[in-house]
Parts: sequence; C-alpha cells; structure tokens
Amino acid sequence: MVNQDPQPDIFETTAAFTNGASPVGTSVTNTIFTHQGHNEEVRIYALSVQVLNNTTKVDISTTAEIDFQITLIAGPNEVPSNPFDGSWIVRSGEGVMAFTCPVLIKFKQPLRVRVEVMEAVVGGTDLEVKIQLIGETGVIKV
Amino acid sequence: MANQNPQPEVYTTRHNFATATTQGTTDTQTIFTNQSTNEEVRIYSVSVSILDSGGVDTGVDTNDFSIQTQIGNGWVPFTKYDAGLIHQKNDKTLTFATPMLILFQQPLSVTVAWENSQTSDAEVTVIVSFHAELSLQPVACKECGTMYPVNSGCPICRRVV
Repeated sequence: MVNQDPQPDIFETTAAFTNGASPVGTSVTNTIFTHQGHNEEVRIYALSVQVLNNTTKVDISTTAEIDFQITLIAGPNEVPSNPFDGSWIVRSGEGVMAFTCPVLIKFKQPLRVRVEVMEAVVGGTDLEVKIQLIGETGVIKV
Repeated sequence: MANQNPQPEVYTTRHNFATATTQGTTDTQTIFTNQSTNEEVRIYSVSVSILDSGGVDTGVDTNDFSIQTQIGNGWVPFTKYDAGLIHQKNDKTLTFATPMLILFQQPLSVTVAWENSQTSDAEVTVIVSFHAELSLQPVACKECGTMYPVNSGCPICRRVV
C-alpha cells in the first residue's frame, strides 16, 4: 500500500557467483515483493547494476571479469520478452539503463529477477551482482 | 504479443570472433521480435560491449568492428556504423535520430564485421543490445485526430457520441 501517490520505490536484489564454481549458464533468480494494493500498480523505469567483490564488498564494476545477462519476469511473462546484456551497463559511466517505457507490475504479479553468467567466473574473485530497479508505485487511474 | 501496451524490449545479440580474424569477417544474428499483426517494434538506441574470452572489457584494444542492421529486406540505417566508437563512449550507447521501425513478419538481422586491415589479436565477443518498445499500432481518428490502437475505436469520439 502506498503512502503517497505516486510513491518512489527502489527494489534491490543481489546475485552471488562463486569463483571457479560458476560455469557458463549458472543463474540466480530472486523474487521481489512489491506489496501493492489491488488498485495499485508498480512502474519500473530503469535499473542500475553494480558488480562487487563478494568478500570485501568493494565495487569492481569496471574491472570485473564477468559477462552476464539479466531477465525480468513480471507475473508469468518476461518483460522485456528476452534476457538482455548486463555487461555494458556495469561498464557504462552511470551504471544505469533506462527502459524505453516502464515495465508494469500489476496486483498479485510476482516480480522476479534472474542473473545468468555467459562466461565461467574464473577471475579469482567471488562476485556479487547488485541490481536496483528504479520505479514507482501508484494508484491505478481510470 | 505484447503483455502491456507499450512494452519495453531489449534485444541482445552476441557475436564471437576468434583470434586472428581477418578484415571483412562477419557474424550475423537474427532477432525474433515475436510481434502480432497489429503490433510494431520501435528501436530507439543501441549499446555495445566488447569483452575478451575472460569477460573483461577490451577497452581501446580489439574494437574495430562495424554494425549493420537489416529490417525486412532493407538496411536501416542505410550504411554500417562503428561499433568500437559506441563501445568506447562513456555511456556505451548510441541514440538514433528517429526510431527504427519493425513491422509484422519483418525479420531483424544484425551483422557485425571486423574492419581493421590487421588481423585481430584476441578472441572477443561483441555484445549488441537494442533498446526498443513493442506496442499496438496506433491509428488517428478521422474526427478528432486522437491516436488509438487499431480495432479499438476512438475513446474521445465515442465519449462525445
């Protein structure tokens, strides 16, 4: 339930990949609870991605040896309808990718985020991919 | 089929090039947009990331690639454009002046080519991401000009009537 309309929301999730034990195709899927009312919807406008050393929690986004893709699943469907590359996002200046239009999450639709590595993680460091979904929750207008 | 109208889309293709790739070597991938008869896809920008076999950004090395996109039977844009330039930008993204339009049953093909006269010195993967949206095709109401999805009827005029 929102406290203001619309209400800014940032949903954060992390995916850990162990060095030497994360071959190609290893994926981590997390569920995000949006806690919205039946007359509310969540709109996700952008996502930011960061890669951390999973031991020290130091940001190693620009130098990390990782190639990965991200999948967003809203309810039963993938939105966008395909996995997309996360490598360029972490290495871009802002570390943020804005969607061309918002991803809509309706009432009772679980929101899941999947991170899948496309190359084996063998750089000598345990990695953590941190994803923040930047959105808002608002009352549905008619 | 869109699950929402409009629906954001990011189409990613991966193009692998071995060490000692010669000039003019290309790799073409096809993107399936899975759109319906009354839907269209608009591509607004493209991002490029070039990684070596260990998943490390190649930076200024081994990035002399070009991209060419074919929609249906035509090239859009007409000519190929530099992928290395986009890869080396701070935001790694190039925004098109106008969106690329993909209609029903039009295949979208992405061709990446090694352009340098010298052979490439490392195995790399060129990852191209197109930022797009999928939506129902709108038409304009004859009475008031309001845009509305095909087959829905104009909401404004219906209200007036």
